[in-house]
Amino acid sequence: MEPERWQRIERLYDSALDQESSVRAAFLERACGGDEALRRAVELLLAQHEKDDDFLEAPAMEVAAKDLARDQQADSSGFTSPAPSVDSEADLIAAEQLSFGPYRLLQKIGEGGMGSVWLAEQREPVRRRVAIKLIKTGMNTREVMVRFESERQALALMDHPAIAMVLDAGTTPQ
Amino acid sequence: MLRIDEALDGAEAPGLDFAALDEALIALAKVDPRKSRVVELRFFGGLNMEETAEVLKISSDTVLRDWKMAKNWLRCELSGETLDGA
Repeated sequence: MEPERWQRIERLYDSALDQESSVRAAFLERACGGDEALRRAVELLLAQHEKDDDFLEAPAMEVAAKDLARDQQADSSGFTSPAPSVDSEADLIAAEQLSFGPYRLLQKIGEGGMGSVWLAEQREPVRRRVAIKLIKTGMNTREVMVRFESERQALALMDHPAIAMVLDAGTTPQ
Repeated sequence: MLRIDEALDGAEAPGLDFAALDEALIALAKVDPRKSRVVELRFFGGLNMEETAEVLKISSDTVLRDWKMAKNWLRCELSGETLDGA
């Protein structure tokens, strides 16, 4: 989406919110002038506005810490296997090969087009659980590295026990 | 009666897909870099409204507006209701 298009959507969203909800649909109909995609985008955003949940309200590391605590609880209760949780044979092969340096991948906790996030175990110099973000081959472009840098900087701004430290960064043979 | 695999399904439901969020933030940065930064600082950095305002040199009101709108955008993207092409 072009930034100009987005700004137009935002302005319409703000204007629509200023209207009484009973006349909002008519307002958008008029304001969008037959541009159905534009109207749909504004309506989608307005629908989100009505939702009053706690989406993203707890910092990332609190969310991740809770996920890990729940996983560990599941482990100790004996319900789940401590073996790596893998979705397919290809993942299994990848997990075996991606035991690198002091890290061993335990469980995939997220995946997207860019790569995946793994729960891993670090053995040296101390034994502890860490999160590792793997970026697919060909994705370690400048843009991705810049994002890593900005995340690292954002995290470095704060000194708080709930906030992750960037421990290490590097590339694997793959 | 709940079968054990059903119980485990519930227990393992991911709270938040970090990888998908990461990608949605990259998409947001292309059309509205400041909103993307607000989410980085608040959600990943754990900064409050005032601290975020200070880092970005904008008012707290602007941070609040950006934050709400960025969350609207991200919720759309994460639910597959992409605004792109709109």
